[in-house]
Amino acid sequence: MSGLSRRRFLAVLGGMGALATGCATATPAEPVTDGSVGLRLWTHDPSYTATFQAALSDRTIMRGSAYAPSLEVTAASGSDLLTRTITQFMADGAPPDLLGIIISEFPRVMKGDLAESLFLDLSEIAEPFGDDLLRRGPYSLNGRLYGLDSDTSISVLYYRPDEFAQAGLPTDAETWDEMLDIGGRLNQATGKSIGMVSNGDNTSLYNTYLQLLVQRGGSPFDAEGNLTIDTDESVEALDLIQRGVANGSFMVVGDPYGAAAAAAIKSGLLVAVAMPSWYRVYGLEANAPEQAGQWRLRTLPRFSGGGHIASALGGTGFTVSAVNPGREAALDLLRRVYLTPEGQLLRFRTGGFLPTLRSLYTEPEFTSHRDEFLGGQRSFREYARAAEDMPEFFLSENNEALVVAMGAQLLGLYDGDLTPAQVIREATDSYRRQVRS
Amino acid sequence: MTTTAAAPPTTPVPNRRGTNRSRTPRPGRVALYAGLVLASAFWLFPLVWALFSSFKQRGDIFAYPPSLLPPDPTLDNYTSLFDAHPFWQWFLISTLIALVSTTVTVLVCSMAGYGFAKYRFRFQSALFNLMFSSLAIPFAVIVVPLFVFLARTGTADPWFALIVPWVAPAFGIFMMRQFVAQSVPDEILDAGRIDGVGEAGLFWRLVMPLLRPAIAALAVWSFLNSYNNFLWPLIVIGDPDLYTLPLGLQAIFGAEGRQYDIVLAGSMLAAIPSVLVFVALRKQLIDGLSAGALKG
Amino acid sequence: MSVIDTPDTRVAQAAVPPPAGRRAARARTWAPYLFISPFYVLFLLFMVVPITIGAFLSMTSWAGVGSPEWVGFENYARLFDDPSFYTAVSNTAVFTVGTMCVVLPLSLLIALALDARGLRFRDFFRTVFFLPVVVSPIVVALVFGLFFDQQFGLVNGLTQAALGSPGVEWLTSPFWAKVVVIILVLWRWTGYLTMFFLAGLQNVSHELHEAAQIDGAGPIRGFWSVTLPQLRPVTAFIGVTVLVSTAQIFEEPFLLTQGGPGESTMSVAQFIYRAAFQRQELGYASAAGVVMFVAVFLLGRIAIRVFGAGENR
Repeated sequence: MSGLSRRRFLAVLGGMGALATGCATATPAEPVTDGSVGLRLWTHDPSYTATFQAALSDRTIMRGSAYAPSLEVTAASGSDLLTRTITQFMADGAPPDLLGIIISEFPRVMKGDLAESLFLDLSEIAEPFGDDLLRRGPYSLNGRLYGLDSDTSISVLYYRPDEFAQAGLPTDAETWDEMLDIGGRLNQATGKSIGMVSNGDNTSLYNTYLQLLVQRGGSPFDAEGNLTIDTDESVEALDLIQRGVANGSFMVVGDPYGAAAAAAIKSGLLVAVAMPSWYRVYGLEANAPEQAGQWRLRTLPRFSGGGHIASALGGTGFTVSAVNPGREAALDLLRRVYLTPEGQLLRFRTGGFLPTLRSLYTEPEFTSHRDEFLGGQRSFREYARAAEDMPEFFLSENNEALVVAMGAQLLGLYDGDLTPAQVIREATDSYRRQVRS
Repeated sequence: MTTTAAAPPTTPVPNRRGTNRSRTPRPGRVALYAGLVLASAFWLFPLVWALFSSFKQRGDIFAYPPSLLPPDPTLDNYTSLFDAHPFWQWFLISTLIALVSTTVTVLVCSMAGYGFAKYRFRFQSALFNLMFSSLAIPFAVIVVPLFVFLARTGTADPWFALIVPWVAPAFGIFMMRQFVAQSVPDEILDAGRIDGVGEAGLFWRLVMPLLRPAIAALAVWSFLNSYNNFLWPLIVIGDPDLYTLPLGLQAIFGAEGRQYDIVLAGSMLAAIPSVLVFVALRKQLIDGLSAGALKG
Repeated sequence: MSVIDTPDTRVAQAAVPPPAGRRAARARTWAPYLFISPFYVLFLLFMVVPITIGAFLSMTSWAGVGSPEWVGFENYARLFDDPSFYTAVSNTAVFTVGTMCVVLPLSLLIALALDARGLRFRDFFRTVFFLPVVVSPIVVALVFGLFFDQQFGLVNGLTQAALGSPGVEWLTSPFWAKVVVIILVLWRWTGYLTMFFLAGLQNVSHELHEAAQIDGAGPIRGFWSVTLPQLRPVTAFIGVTVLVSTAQIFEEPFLLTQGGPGESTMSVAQFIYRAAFQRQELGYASAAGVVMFVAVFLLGRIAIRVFGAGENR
């Protein structure tokens, strides 16, 4: 195509394209600075809604605020909300004021200048807390912070002491090596398992790996978004999975949050599992309410090679619209609910979400909490130790490509067809093929 | 729903089965029933499981070893669905939108099908190809531009956007074209013209009545299409009070706890309108398709 | 199957010229355009603009906001060099062939069974086969995920109890996962297609059939020599629409496995969805969309020719 005709072609299509794709609002509307303001809150989970609603009528939280916000809530599943937000932004420049993005969806907004166009940089309100604020890495991009997490989603080991006692096995194994030894003996004797790995969809498969990788001190990407799975940490995480599956410690389960896991738990075949804090409600209690009182939690066994006694999986980062008139009010509300001790306590009481401020783990309001499902255990004793040793990790705009790349290879790892090194090599190749442009 | 579609069939279904001679059961007959019963079991079992599970407590749904019957039947899933969500509103909106869409779709497709089948005109072939090509448009590619276009032109109102752009599906036009060519003899049209009936009158008074069975077939198809649509309502509807059923159920399922217990209950109720439409139209559907599809 | 159109697909051209005057003749010239115009008005308003934008986007790099950046045919070059795309194409081909070879014949078979003379509970059977299409896809995915789970699934439970065979990796082997997708398509759509066949069977002449039986033809030969030829137009109609829609299959594999394990059940439509809504590469997604559009359209046109259905002249 010649330069001239191409330019004309571009002009014609560009005109049409601009109608549909051009930025709706060149300059953001002036923000409302005080008084009553209606805020649109989009989230996939009713617990967040309940938290924000409760905060509005909580004097200690709203004291001194210049705003009197009211909330208009839209609920839909996580990926749908983000798709709608982007589309809505293109259409009329009015995305939601507060948007909860599930962590696995966040990489989508790392593409191009999506995050920058859509969301306010929250660094300023997070800055006073320094290292006390957990969970910044995954929502950071180019030195800016776009999301505040609702939960620390600390991974712990849930276990059933009665089952261990019955088999004459200890529950206080220090390392994963000891734990696998115990798991192998338990499996030999009873057919039961002390953990599960997923062979379901790519995301579930990948999460199996991610949780252990992060615990071992690795991260799928570095802060610049470069792939960093070809490391010793990664090999050790994969090796643990392979050995655990081989000796029966880890049961292979399709959907760790659905039917298969529920069956495994209810049938008593799964007597321990390493899962994030929210799994107690959605995985254990929801599926096996009759096992109330039989479960306990503890920090994860460590890797002999190093790493942490904690990991994390999941989470939902709340973002503030960069263009809406209500953005200052939304920012104020988010700060009050997500970055104050009162707000985090309310969040915990409303939805069971763990504080994201490390120092709160030793506050009496939290440490005095007894978990009835866990037989009255004071779970914050364990969580506090974990919070002191939380690993940090980073995401990339190409996260989804890695999820797909890892998914297929992990199945080969379970079967013993691939060594950890091979898995890493194959996954890296597949990843590079997908993201090459 | 169109009144024509809801009306009882004026022509009785061909009843050649009534004349069957009584025979002693043959092995073939036994095999036939055995085969049908087995096949029905395969088709029905997942549905029965879902239906019974909607009366189970959440913890019992995935019990292992599994049991089909609820060990401890409960209506909790249904009541918490009604308590926590505007279910009947979703139900009403979905049904209403599907009914309106279906009515207009049937009309538009009948007209276009008639036009293609009974007239010769310039560019007919090209226009037919253009129409047929819209069967191949990948929805995922146009969904964002389409919504942005509607929003910029001020027509992104859910009621408009959920109905108007979708009432002329190529499938329906293709199907109606086949049917008209088959079941509307040219002689009727020519006789009508000799009597001085206008072209619109021919279509409305002579052709439409003959199309009634095909209309029923298209109505079922169209109703299901509109009622089950998910991606488009997701983009168009922001207000949870205006959700369609698939959207509402997905939102419940998408919440952190994957409330499949409530989704199961909702899905069972959500299936009712489609089943009713099918049951109401099935005799005409058979009739309609037979004539429409027989003609290649 | 014959490539030649049957004569009866042609609209009779020997219509008697209307005796009415010029006005009526003119009305007849304009009438078809009026009848088909609603489609084209809607098509112009709501399809042409998005399609043009889609075609434009296919030559840009665009994450979803801001101005698309012109990249020419780069997306196309990348697409034809992307192993994932070829995987998606071959998966889709498997689903399409599977559907055409298994689901179509089976729905015909069930239709034949339902058409048997003096069948009792005909209405019941008919409704049972139709029911799956009215159930929410979420529930379908839930139930099938549960049934085909390797360890706790009912299917493996039954085969183990009955045959003592080790469990099949239904959803985790690239081969079996495709099979389960086809089983799901089979379960959801067979009854729906059966309706179309059943409809066609209503008009199959039974005199011919009985004549064949008197000639000593068994039921199977009778089917091949009498029923099937008469049913050809129905088969063609269904064949074309099933082909065109299966080539765009999305829901079944996406619900069941999200395209996994790896990419072994990812269809072309999911490839597009993934690029657009999971990776925010809308330009790349549009390029894949344009390619799929052209391919499906051509496939559809060829099918119309081959089946001899819906041709205008």
